[in-house]
Amino acid sequence: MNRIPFRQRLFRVLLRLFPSEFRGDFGPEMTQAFEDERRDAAAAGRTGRAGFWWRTVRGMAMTGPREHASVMLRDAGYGLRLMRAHPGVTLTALLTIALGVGANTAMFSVVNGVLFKVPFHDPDRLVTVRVGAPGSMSAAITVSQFETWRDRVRAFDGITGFTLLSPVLTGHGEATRLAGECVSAEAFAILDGTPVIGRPFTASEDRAGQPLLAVIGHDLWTTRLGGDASIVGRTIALDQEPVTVVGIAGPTFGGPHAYGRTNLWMPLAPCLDRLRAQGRRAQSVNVYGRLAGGVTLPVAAAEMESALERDATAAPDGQAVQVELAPLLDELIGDVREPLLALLGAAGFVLLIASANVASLLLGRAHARRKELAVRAALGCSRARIVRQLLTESLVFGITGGALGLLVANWILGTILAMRPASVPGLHRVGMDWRVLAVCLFASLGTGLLFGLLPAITGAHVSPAAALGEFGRGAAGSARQRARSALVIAEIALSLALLVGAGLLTRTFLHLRPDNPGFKPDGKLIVTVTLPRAPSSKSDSSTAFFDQFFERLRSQPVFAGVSASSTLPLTGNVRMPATVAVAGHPLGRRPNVDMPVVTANYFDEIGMAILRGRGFSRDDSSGSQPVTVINETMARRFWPAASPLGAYITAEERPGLSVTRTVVGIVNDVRGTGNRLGAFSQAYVPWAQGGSTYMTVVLRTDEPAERVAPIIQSQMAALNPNLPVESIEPLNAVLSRSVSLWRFAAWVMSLFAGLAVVLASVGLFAVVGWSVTERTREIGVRMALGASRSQILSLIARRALVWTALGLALGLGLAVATTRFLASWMVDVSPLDRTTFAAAAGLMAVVALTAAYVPARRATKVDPLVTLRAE
Amino acid sequence: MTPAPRDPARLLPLSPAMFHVLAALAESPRHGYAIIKDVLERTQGRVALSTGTLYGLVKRLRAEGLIVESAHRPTASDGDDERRRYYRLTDFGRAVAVAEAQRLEQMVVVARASSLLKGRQRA
Repeated sequence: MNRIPFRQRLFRVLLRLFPSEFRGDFGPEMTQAFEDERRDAAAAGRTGRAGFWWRTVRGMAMTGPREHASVMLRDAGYGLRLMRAHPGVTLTALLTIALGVGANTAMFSVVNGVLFKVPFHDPDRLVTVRVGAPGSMSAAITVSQFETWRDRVRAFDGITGFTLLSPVLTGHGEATRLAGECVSAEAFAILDGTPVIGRPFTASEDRAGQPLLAVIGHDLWTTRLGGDASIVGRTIALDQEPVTVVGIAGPTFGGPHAYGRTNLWMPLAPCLDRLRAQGRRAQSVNVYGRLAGGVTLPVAAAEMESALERDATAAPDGQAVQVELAPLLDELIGDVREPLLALLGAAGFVLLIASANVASLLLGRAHARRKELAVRAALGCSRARIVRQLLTESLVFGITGGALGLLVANWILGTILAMRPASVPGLHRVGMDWRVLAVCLFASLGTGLLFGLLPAITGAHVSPAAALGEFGRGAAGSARQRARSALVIAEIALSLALLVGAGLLTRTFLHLRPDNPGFKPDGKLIVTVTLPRAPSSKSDSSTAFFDQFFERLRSQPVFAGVSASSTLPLTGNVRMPATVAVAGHPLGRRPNVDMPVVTANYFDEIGMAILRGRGFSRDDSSGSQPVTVINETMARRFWPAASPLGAYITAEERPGLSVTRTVVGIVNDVRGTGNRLGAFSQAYVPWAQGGSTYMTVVLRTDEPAERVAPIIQSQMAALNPNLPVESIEPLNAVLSRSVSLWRFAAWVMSLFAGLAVVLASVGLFAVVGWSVTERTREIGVRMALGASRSQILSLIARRALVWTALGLALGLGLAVATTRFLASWMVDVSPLDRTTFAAAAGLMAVVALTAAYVPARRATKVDPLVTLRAE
Repeated sequence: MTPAPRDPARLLPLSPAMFHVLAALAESPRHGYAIIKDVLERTQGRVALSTGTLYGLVKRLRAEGLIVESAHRPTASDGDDERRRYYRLTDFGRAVAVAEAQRLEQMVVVARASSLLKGRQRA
């Protein structure tokens, strides 16, 4: 057998780098020239041969792709000319692609910022620690447990304790409360936070009795401290005490809670000293660790459990403690991962619908171009060449539409970010970056390929004889029709699934939107003030301070009413005593009873109703009998049958201070925050008998926050110039923030569903329109033979009905399969909620049939005489 | 393909490789490998075109109407293969090559005037 020599096979492979057209033209003579040259090179010895092969391979590898590019540019140029020649089709297609690509790009940049831009290396090895017994695990770890693990457990590369300290910075502009975190020295290493200037603190500085130090956050450094590197080594005043700055963190470092905006980090042990000096227990911390390479979660947990067993001080009650480890990322973004990906999936659906629509549009154009394509085929243009040209044209569409899509994405993203969905962490990382641009390009090219493929293949199937002979509707015609029907059915199905998703999220939002949150938020501003806890601080001093502050505010005519509470509804803040006993019965370790301290007029001012008994009055003073007013939930929980009025509640309201209070009244529930709709058990404590270093003042006024802010600040400054007023905002804003996540989810999903429905109905409209155009002759003949208008209408509409019915059936299936991904964002609404499914299907059916009716009606207006004469 | 009279200056400057191919065809029609060899000889081995590069150039020169396939084939004395195609300069191609040569000449004049080529004036 004649074997082809290796060199020739190799050269053939190299020839494949060239476009087929080029190969057809020059292939044989290139092979001949290659043979000639090789023969001469063989005579020139080894060096000559090596030089020859190097030249040949390099030349082919460089020229082949260049030739491909030139063919592509030519096809693209042709595509652009075609786009200009049919502005209507072009504009529709571009707009459709822009919407699809825009939705995806915007949604991807959210997902990218929140889920993908993880600021740690190997985030899977970062874990959070919980301890306790099965069913009651807690992230509160005692300091001695943490120290045992830190000193004895080898499963970690590093482990850090963590607690919060929010000192007030003075001496650099207005007094400001900082968001501070207390961490162990290892935290910087395990969380990739080596300071960019200065150093982290050392293990020897993280010991009890050592002075407090600080590594300051990059933002704080640039905004408040002037971005001056010489701050390192100097002191700043925190809670009016000098604290030495040892380092400045990098701009991306955010501590374990990387998604928040922490301003500074301090060593854990001195922090705990300070907290205790302020009269807090400071007995427990949160614990984060970085697992050593190759160590699994169960192995590390087992080692931690056995370390505790060996150390009696860490488990003082002698009970075995169970340790549970979970990835840190789950804690940070676990709740939003699935719904965000679901929204990205929804955007993907929109892109698919857009692709289907454009494919359908181009199918129509390919049909209109069949003559041109047939001429090319007749002139010897291969099918592959025609497919390639049509695909290149589609890619031109895709890329142009994608560029417009960036504008759409920018708009959608701007709107999403303006909604500030409160519980989506890391939104400040969201923005356009190379990944987003790459996805946008990929989506554009992918869309171009997706919608280009079908028309390209059907277009390339043109039989020259059939097309040139102008036989309108042969086998190719029905194949095209089938393809279009399939596209329309798919569009309806995808749109319905999106509609259902949007419906479910909207229902959740409407359900959560607190029409009646249990208080009246209109015309009220809130101001938060936290007093420092000085070592000598008794509640008396903070009470006196707040009393003066309230009085000063009351003297301002702009405020019609001034009241205050230690915990404001819907903020998620609670004041939970360590132990509570109701009518003599202790409630166990974590009693879950919130005991807000409120001023006597708070219930009236905020608009809560006393349901039974009485509210607080000025008579409830520090010297009178301790009293409490409980909410409905608490009354139901502990006194389901009897009246709670006159009953006793004993609680350790401050470390070492138990107070027994008499229930004197019941107020209505106020709504819980976020998806915790049900209210907490609450037992309100009168201000004069409680006291708190943290109060939110509720001001009744019609003036906007900006106008009254200077008044509030000047009143505060007159009392203590070193105390910051933390936030001044309308109570309504708090309310709105509490449902911002659902507003965001419902808005995004509804936007996508809306786009999908519009695109699908445009698609259906166009396809029915084409089928009418294509069947004009048939309709004319039928009418000439006596068919009535309603018979013609039903002839056309029947098809649209079948498509819609199939689309709806598929769409319901798709919705059933996919809505569960949104489940974690749905509150009190089932992912299979029948009403929503029915309403969405009904809406889709109405829209689809309306879209089909308009062109179908046109069919009834066909004049048989005109059509038959045209024949 | 496009023999309409055009201004040769519009195609200038040519790439060196393009110019070498035109120069190789200035005297007589040649096939691909003959062009490669001619360029190599004229440039004393400094410019070695590869097959791939050459045919990329041939395609472009042909599309621009600078060369065409020659109907005239030499006798089969040197093992002529029917796969070979011979190319020749068109009138336009010759005009472009001349224009490029003149352009290069002017550059050399400038270089001499500014003493850049002082030591090599007589060479």
